[in-house]
Amino acid sequence: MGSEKNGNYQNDTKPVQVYGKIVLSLENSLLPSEKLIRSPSVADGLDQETESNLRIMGCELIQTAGILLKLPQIAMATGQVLFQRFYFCKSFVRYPMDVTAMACLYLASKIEEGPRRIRDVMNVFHHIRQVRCQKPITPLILDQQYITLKTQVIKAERRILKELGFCVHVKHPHKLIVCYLQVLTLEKNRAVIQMAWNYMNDSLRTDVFLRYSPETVACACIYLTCRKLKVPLPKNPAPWFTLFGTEEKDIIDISRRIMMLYKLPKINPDELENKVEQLRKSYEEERDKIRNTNVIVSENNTPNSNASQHKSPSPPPPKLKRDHDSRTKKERDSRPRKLRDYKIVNSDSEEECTTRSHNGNYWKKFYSYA
Amino acid sequence: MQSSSSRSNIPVSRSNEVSCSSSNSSNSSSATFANSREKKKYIEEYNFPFCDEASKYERITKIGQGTFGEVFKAKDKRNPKKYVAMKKILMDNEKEGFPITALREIRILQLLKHENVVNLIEICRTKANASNKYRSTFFLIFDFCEHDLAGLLSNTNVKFSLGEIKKVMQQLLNGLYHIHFNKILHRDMKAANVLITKNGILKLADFGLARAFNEIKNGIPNRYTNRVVTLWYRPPELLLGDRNYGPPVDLWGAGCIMAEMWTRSPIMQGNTEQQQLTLISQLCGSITPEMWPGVENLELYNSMDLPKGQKRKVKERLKPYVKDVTACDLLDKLLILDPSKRITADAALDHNFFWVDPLPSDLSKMLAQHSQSMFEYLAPQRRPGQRPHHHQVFFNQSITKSFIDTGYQDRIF
Repeated sequence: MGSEKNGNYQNDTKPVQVYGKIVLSLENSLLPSEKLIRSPSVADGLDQETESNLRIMGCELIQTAGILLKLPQIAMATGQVLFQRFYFCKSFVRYPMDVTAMACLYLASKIEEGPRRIRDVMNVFHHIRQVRCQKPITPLILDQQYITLKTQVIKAERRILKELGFCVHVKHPHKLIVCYLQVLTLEKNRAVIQMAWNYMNDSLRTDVFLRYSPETVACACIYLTCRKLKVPLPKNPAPWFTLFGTEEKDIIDISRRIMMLYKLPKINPDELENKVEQLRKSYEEERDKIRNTNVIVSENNTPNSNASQHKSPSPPPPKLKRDHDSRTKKERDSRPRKLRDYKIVNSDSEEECTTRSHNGNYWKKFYSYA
Repeated sequence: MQSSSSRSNIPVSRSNEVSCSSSNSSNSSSATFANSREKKKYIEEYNFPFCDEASKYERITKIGQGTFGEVFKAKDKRNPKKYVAMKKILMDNEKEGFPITALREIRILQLLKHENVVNLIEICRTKANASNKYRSTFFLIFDFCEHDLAGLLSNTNVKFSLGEIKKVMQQLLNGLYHIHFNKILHRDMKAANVLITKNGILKLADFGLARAFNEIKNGIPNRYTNRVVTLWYRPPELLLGDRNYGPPVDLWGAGCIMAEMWTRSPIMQGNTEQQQLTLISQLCGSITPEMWPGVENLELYNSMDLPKGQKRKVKERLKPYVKDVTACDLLDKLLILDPSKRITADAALDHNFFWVDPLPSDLSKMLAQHSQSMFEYLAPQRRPGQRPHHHQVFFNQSITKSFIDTGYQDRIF
């Protein structure tokens, strides 16, 4: 009897046994297309274009900040991969892009053995922001706001680690390009190597690393380079890329995605921030409403019931919520156009920039949230 | 002007910091309350799909304690036959976020999957809640190993035959060869960091100080920290302030451990860097530019007081313990002052010691006689009087003091 029980027991438990593995590659993050289309940010009401613009902007921030911090390119590459992966787990609406970008670069600097202090990372992001807003360059002041932001960066770092299950050590395909070019006997052509690497670095801003294996991306970078520089690649006995186990359609798709980067109009960061901020507001208001109704139903004489009654009379809140939601959606649709018009008329309005970053709503509110 | 205006901002920023929606000021205080409460709930209930909760393991007992944190023996609740060791990642230095040493350890352990390197199963976290200020703790989860070498050596009932000692050393060097081949330095070789399973498989553990190393590129020397390796196992080049070191630092430690297999206690127990250097000179001969070309360029060569006129007497002093001639010869090659002449793990594995009778023999039979786990942390404190005289006094230094002094017996994993 006893042994039988034991046997059963083992049979029951063994297949359940799963441990979180830690994988050190890019391949473990290939996502199915339905996940790529319905990202957490899209689920929170952000449109795809805004999301991809936010991704591009975040990656550019990481790249620029990395250069200013004199980090090796590999750290920026790792940082961008972490950033891209994170936002397929979490939404831009709930987790502010700037803080995540800082945390990604900070974490990447440690991963790639070139640690930088959080303070330096924050300083550099502060600098970039000032340059962008064309404000006079002033140093970051060490006040309570600074401490709050620093804590947020530390927390964001931990969240990235947890969310990605510590699979944060990335093997980059830069080496692959060199190997492949050696096979193609092009390794002496420095222009080819350099340009292929450039395409590779730029491709980090797109989601190709979440769609295709590093080998395929490497082939696409070579493909683009050789077209651009008019370097012939062998077609016989079989097209060259078959050697590396890739297909033409994938290469062309990646090339399109990379080339698309260069066709995009310049991103307007303020507009993006506005959009996210609005969504975040409506998301929070919605949450507050739910909370308020709960409080009123459950506890009548709490100190906050006064304050909440101010705002929402008890019976209709669910409806109100829906009304409110639709209104913000309308706003969301109309807002960008308005803003864009505004921008064209007042293209160099410093006022707008300074006021926004001065009261720092965007920053502060997010920090207090996460 | 700039600074004063921003300074006046401070109180504003403080008040805003608490409030989430500044648009509706009358609502802001209640909203904050709501948010913070909901935030708590959200955080407490949030599940990270790729990072399990530490509560899936049931802690049984503490098996290690030191500067690095704590190590527990635990078992998997879903599979009670599976024992693991949980190593807490100490987050004391919150100032700079997640410790880079832990990041290194994780990567290095992933990179180094090998029979003679401890196996990292996964990383777990505790749930964030009010009691830990919403900062979860992380744990590295390892396969459980029953013993560590320091624990085994401190137990006089455990007797190693020559063949068994050879097996231990062979596995140890095999592990070192593997990690050096992968361009990693362990940097904390000592008996307590050498684990042995009940089946007699040796595992190198505690990569908390480990790092990747480069061959020198473009003539620019590396600048690694020399404040690594437990003092008693620290090689002379580190004691003299070398910052451009490599794999030989681990082989010095391997030599110290090998001698300890016979002496049963660490062979050079200095209390200070200076004393450690004196002990080394007394065993391995004076440190001079003739014996070790280039030593005069090391940072601390002139500031340390190096005994002169000492003869090398490694073989002579170890002979009373180590009767085997080939063993003495290998020890002599491991404990060479000049790191560039010290034997490599690869060459050591080819040494006659491992290829003459008695050949390395399996440890599991001997270990089967001991049903209890032996860890240095759990072992009774090594004090004079508890053990036969010849075991502790290899050198006439004040051993009592060094043991009670700051804990060098702290690290286990």
